[in-house]
Amino acid sequence: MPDDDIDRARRRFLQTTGAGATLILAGCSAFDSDSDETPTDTQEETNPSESETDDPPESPSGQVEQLDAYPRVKIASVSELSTGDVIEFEYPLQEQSNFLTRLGEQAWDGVGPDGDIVAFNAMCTHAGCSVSGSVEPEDSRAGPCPCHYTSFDLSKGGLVNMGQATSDLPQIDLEVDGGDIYATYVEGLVWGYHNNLRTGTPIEAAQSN
Amino acid sequence: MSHDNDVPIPPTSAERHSTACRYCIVGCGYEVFKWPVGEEGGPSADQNAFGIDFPAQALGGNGITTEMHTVIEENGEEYNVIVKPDDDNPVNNQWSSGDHSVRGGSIAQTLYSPENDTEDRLKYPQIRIGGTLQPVDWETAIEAVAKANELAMDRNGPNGVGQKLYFYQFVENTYAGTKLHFDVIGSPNWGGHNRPALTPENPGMRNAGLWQFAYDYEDTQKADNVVMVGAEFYENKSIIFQEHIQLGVQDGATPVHIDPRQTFTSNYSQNNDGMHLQLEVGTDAVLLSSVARHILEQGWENTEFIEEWTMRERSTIDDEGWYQKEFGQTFEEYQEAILDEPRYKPENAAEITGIPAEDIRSFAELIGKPDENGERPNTVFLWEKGLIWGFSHENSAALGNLVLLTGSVGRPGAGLSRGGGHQEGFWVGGPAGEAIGEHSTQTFTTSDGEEVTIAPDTDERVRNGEILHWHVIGCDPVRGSYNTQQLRNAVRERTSGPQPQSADAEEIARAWAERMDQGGMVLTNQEIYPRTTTEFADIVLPATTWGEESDYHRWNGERRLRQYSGFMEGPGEAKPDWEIFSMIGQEMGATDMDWGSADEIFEEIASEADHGVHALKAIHDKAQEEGKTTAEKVSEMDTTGIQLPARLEDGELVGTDRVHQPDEKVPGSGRFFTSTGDAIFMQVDWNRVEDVYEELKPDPSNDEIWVTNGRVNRLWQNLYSHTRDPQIIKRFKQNFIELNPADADRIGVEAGDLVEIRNDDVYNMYGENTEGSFTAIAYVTEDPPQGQIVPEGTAFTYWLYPGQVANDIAPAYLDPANPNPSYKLAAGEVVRLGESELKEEMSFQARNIAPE
Repeated sequence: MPDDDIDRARRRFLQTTGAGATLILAGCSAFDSDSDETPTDTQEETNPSESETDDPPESPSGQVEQLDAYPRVKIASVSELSTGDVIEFEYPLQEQSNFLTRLGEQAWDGVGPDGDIVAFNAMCTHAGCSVSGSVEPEDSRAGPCPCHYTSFDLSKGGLVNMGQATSDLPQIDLEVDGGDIYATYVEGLVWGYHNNLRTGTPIEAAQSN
Repeated sequence: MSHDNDVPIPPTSAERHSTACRYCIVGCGYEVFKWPVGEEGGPSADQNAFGIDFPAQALGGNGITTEMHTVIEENGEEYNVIVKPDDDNPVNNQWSSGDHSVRGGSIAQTLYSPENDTEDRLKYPQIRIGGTLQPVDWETAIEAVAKANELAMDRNGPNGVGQKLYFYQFVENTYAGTKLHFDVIGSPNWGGHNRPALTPENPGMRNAGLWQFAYDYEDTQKADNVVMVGAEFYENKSIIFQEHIQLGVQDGATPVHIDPRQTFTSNYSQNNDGMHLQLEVGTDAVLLSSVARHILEQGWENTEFIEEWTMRERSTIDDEGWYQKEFGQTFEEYQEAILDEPRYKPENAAEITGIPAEDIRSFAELIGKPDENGERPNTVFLWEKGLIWGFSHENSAALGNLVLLTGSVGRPGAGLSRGGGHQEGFWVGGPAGEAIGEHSTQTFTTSDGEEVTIAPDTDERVRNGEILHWHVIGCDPVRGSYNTQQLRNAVRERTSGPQPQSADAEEIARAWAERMDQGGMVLTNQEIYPRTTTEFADIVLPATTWGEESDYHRWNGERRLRQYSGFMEGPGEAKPDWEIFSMIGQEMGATDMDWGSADEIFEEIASEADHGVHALKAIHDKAQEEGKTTAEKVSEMDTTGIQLPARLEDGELVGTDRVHQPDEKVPGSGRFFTSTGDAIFMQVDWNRVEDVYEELKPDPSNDEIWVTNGRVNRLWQNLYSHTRDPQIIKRFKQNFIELNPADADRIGVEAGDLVEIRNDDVYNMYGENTEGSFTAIAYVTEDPPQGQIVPEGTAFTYWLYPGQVANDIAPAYLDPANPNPSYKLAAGEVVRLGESELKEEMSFQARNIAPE
C-alpha cells in the first residue's frame, strides 16, 4: 500500500490500541516475593504497533537462542490471585507475552481449588495483536482483539468464539505446587513464531531453571 | 497439518504460486509455497522465501499458522504446502497487511492430503449397479451420462435434461458446462447452485440497468455513509469490513446496518455513531420505500441526476422489454406511487417494519439531505442475503430506487454492490436465451394479460417429472433448494425405480429407460466429495477443484479478475469439470469442445468478450501483441489482477475501478445497462406480496416464530471442506439455532438442548402445503454485554448444515415474474427433544461483541 496509507493505518492502529496500554495488573504484589520470577510488563514490547516502526527490525539471527524443552516456571501464588485479576508474564521466551487470570467459573484445564485459574498466550492467533488489554475474566472472554476483533472463550481452552482466528488461543499448561502456580507448557503455536522455543531469548527464569 | 507447536519455514528455493482465496466474494490475494519435505528455510530474511525475519511481526501478513500448512503427496514424494494471504495486493492490504478471514486462513487444511481429513474425496467414476455405487472406468461413465441424456431427450425433448451448476467455480468450467447444456442439448431447464432458474438475483436492479457489483472496495473508505443491508458484513465479508469499511468509518463515515438481528455489524455501527435499523423479517421493501417517501416529501431527491440519467418517457421504458413494461416507472410515476401508498408513510411503515418513524426519517436525512452548500452525501449501498432471498423484486427494486433517487452512484465514495457470497465465475457458453425462449414451460402473465415465457424453475420440474435426467455439478440441491424435505422425498422416489444389474451399456440403457417410463429420473452427480445429493446418484463423476491441475480465472466483488494457479494433482482419477463436460459433449457429437486445456477455453472466451461489464478482450489483444496467451498475461498480474471491464487506452491495458461512471468506460455500453444507457425506477407495490407475507408469517397460535437462516463466520456454504477441518468445525459440531431467552423460556429449552424446528404447513405455491423439520442445538446467551443477537419471536440458524437442513422449512414461494425463492422467510415451532451431548462442550458466549 502507498506510504501515506501506511501512516494512516498506523495512526489509527495506535488510536485503536491506546487503551491496551493501561493493562489491568491487579495482583502484582504476588510477584514481589520472588524477584527472580517477576513477570515483566511487556506491553511496550508486545504492542503490535511496535511492528509498524519506520526502522526495519533487526535480524534476530545473531541473537537467536533456543530452548530444548518447555521450562517449569513459577508465575504466581493461588492465595494472592483473586477472581477477575489479570497478570501478564512472559513464557517461555522473552516477548512471548501471556496472561494468567482467575475466571470464577470452572474452566477446561483450569487449576486451583475451583479449577478456574487459566493462562493463555496473549498474541491473537489471527494476526499477532495482543489481547491482554481486552481480557474480561467475568465473562470468561479475551477479546474482541483490538485489531480484527476475534474473541476467545477462556473457559473452553481459548476456543475461538467469533472472528477471523483459525486456531484457539494457546493455553499455557499450569501446575499448582505448594500453593504456587507454575507454567509448564504451551498448547499451540504462538503467533509469528515457527516454533515456540526458537528465535528468541529464553526468559531469565527459564535460563536459570 | 503441522504439529501443534511448530510449522516449517519455506526455503528460498520453494515454488511460489499466485492465487486468490477459494471461498468468499471478497477474493483476497493468496500465495502458495511448495517445497519438498526435508528441506527447510531459516528464520533470517535471507534464509526463507518470505524474505522476513522470524518471529513475524504482528499485522505484517507473514505469520504462518498451523492451519496454513499441510503436507501433500505426489508421485510418492511429500511436499510441504503453505497457503497464506499475500501482502501485496489492494484487496487485503489496506488497514493491515496480508489480512485473512477464518475461512481463507485455513485453506491448506482443505487440500487433498494424507495429513488432512480429505480421504473421502471422490477418486473414481461410479455407477449405481444393483443398488450400490461401484467404480467404473471413465469411458463407461461418460457413455452412461450420454445415454441418460439421449433417453431423456427421446422422451421429453431437450426439456428432459436438467442441469444444476455452480455460478462461481471458474469461467472455464461454467463456459464448458453451459455449452453442453444450452448448445449440445438445448434444454431450458438450467438452475444455478443457489436458485432454480437462470434469473437475475436482484431483478429490481438488473432490469433497471444497475449492475450488482458496481463499486470499488476502496469506495467504502471514501464514503460519508456505508449502508449495509443484511449479510452480517463482519462475519461474512470479513476483509471488506476489516480492510475497507473500517477505514471509512475511522475517517468519519457513518455505518448503518439494516438487519432483523443485532449482530456484530449492528453493534459496531451503533458504537461508531451509526444506526442499526432492526426491522421485522421480510419488510425491507416497506422500510426502504418509506425512506424514499421521506426524501421525496422533503424534496431531497437528486433532480439533476434523475433528469440526466433516468428514463423519462413511458414509451422508452415499454420498449425496453416486458419486465420493464410491467414494473418500470418514470420518475413521475414512481414519485406518485410512493406518495400515494399510505403504507409508506413513516408512521405506518413503523407498524409494519418495527422501525420507529423518527429513525426512518433520520436515515432518510442521512443519505438524502444536501448540506448547506448543496453538497450531497456520498453513500455506498451494500446488500446481500436478507435483502436477497426475501421478496426478490420488491426488495431489490426498493434499494435500487434509493440509489437512483439520491444519485449515489459512479463517483468515488458512492456506489452500490452486493456484499456478495461466493466469487463470480459464470460465463454462458451456449444460447441460453434461445433454449429458454423456445422450450421453457413456465410463463408469467403480465397485468396486460400477456403470457411471457420465463426461465423455468427447474427444481419444480424435478418434482413434477419434466426432467428425466438431472446432472448436478458442484452443489447440493437437496439441501440448498427451497422446501428441501419435499424435494428429497421426490428425488428419492424418482430415483428408486429399476436399476441396472451390470455395467453393460445395454443393461444400463434398459433399466434407465424403464425407470423413466415409470415416471422416474436418472441422477448424475459431478462432485469433489460425496454430499447429500450423492446419496441418490446413479452416476458419480469425480472432479478436481481449486489448486488442482488447471489454471483458472474468476473475479471478486469489485470485478477483479485473477488467475487461480494449479499447483498440485487431484486425487485418484478425478478430472477437471471442463474436461468432463468436454468428454460428454464429444460423446454426444459436439465437434467444438475438444479443448486441450483450461487455458484454451479461457482464450476462446477472451477472444470474443469485447463488451459489457466483464469485457476482457483487451487482455487477449494485449497478450497477442506481446506474443502471449491471455492466461499468461493475467498470470503476470499476480494477486492484483485487473478490474473488469478491461480496455486499451493509448495501447495500454487498464481496468475499471467502478462502473456507472458518467464518462462510461464499459466497452459497448452506456452509463447504465439499458438500451439507452439510462437507468429505470422500478415499481415497489407491497400489494403484490402482502397476502403471501401474511401466510408466511409465524402463526403465534401454533407457537411459531420466524426461523430465518444465513451464513456465519466460520462455516462456508454446505461445509464441503469445513466438516473436514477439525479446528474449524469444532465450534459448531452440529447446526445451531440462536434463540432469544424469552422464547427459550417459553419453549422450555436452555443453551445446549437439542431442539427440533417443525412446520407442518410449509407454503407451496405449486400445490398443497407440505411438512418440514430439522434439528439444531439451542444457542441461548443470558445477559450478553451488547444485547441479544435475535429479538423475541425471531430465531436464526445456519442455512446448509449437513443433515440438519434449514431449507427443509423454507417456503416454496418464488416470484411469479422471476422465480427466485424466498429462502429467508421461513417459520416454525421449536420443540425440545432433549439434552445434547454438546451441551458442556459448546461455547454459548455472545457472538455480537463489537469494539466500544
